[in-house]
Amino acid sequence: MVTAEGGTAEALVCNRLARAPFFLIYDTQAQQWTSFQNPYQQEHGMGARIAQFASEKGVEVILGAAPGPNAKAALDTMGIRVAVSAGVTAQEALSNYLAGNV
Amino acid sequence: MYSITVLSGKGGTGKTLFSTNLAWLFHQKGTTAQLLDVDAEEPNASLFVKFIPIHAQNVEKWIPHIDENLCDRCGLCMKECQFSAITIAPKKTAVLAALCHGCGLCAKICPQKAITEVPKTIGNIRLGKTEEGFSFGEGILNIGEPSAVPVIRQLKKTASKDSEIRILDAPPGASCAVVESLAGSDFALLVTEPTPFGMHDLRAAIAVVSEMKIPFGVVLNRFDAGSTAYVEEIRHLDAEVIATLPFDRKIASAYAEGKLILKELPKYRPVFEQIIEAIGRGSA
Repeated sequence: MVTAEGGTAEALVCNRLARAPFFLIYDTQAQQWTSFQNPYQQEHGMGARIAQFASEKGVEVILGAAPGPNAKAALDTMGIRVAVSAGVTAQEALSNYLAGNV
Repeated sequence: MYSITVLSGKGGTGKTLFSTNLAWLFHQKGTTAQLLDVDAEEPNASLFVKFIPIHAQNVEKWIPHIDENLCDRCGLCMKECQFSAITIAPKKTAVLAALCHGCGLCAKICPQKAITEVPKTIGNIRLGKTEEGFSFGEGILNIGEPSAVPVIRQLKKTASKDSEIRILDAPPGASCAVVESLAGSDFALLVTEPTPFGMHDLRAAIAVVSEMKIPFGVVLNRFDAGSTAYVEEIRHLDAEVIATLPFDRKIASAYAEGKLILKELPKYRPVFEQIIEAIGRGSA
């Protein structure tokens, strides 16, 4: 899952993790992107909410900004890793990750 | 007991200066007074009065403890917690104590009764009196704890209600901790300074006291030749400037040495008398 500024794979990776406007999920088997608007942008404890959201969607890795302490604790509990990614589009972040460069 | 909360919006405008000197003046005039420093993140009123603590107690927040053997991972607590303090995964559970507000909802709704509440010390309160003879109390929030609200609540609840006047030295800002300080107050004293920042935060403070329907008056600190425009601006906010304290280096020096202005510079006593008078009018 990429935490992104926009709703397509051409959108830049957002410099905020849980407050990113869009969550783009890439299914490595179907090789397909699905876009979700962040439903928690204004809520308390978004850090933990993003872990719950990602877990429900079966996400294994998040590509985005480094998590804060609350998000990290929740993501660790859910067994979801974060690979820090910045300054690139969602598609580039994915390619870099799949190529083992993150 | 008549309760006055001193708040400001912007930090560093003079909340502690006014609350300590007012408490002292009330006491001088024969009114039994109590000063509570509810700025639990950085209480400093005791620098200006000689505090003799008599009674101290811990402040605890009740946070959930999940019995992993009883929990069937239904996730109801995680879904219902407004503060995302609980994360439930197939193999692990996590309680984020810093996010927990101690409301107890999770323990009540858990279908498996797997959640019990355990206390966590988040700070303490100290009560006593000052060498000058009036009642005093302060709350201290432990470093790293995010919310002073439970400390403020316990201090207000535990402190004696025997005084005729209670003055609360509130935290800066206009957040939950300020609202908790104001709750139940009869009058709010808004301290500000003649700067754009002071005015901006004064607006926020006025919005809070108006919403809570608490009568209030504004005090303009560090008043000088350029400040009259601010008095006009405050009037446009439907607020009254009940007193002004001049910009005076001697006040800053005395304050920096931890001294009461009224003891060091008695010529400013009329300013504080004016405030007491206005508070009296506000209560009438």
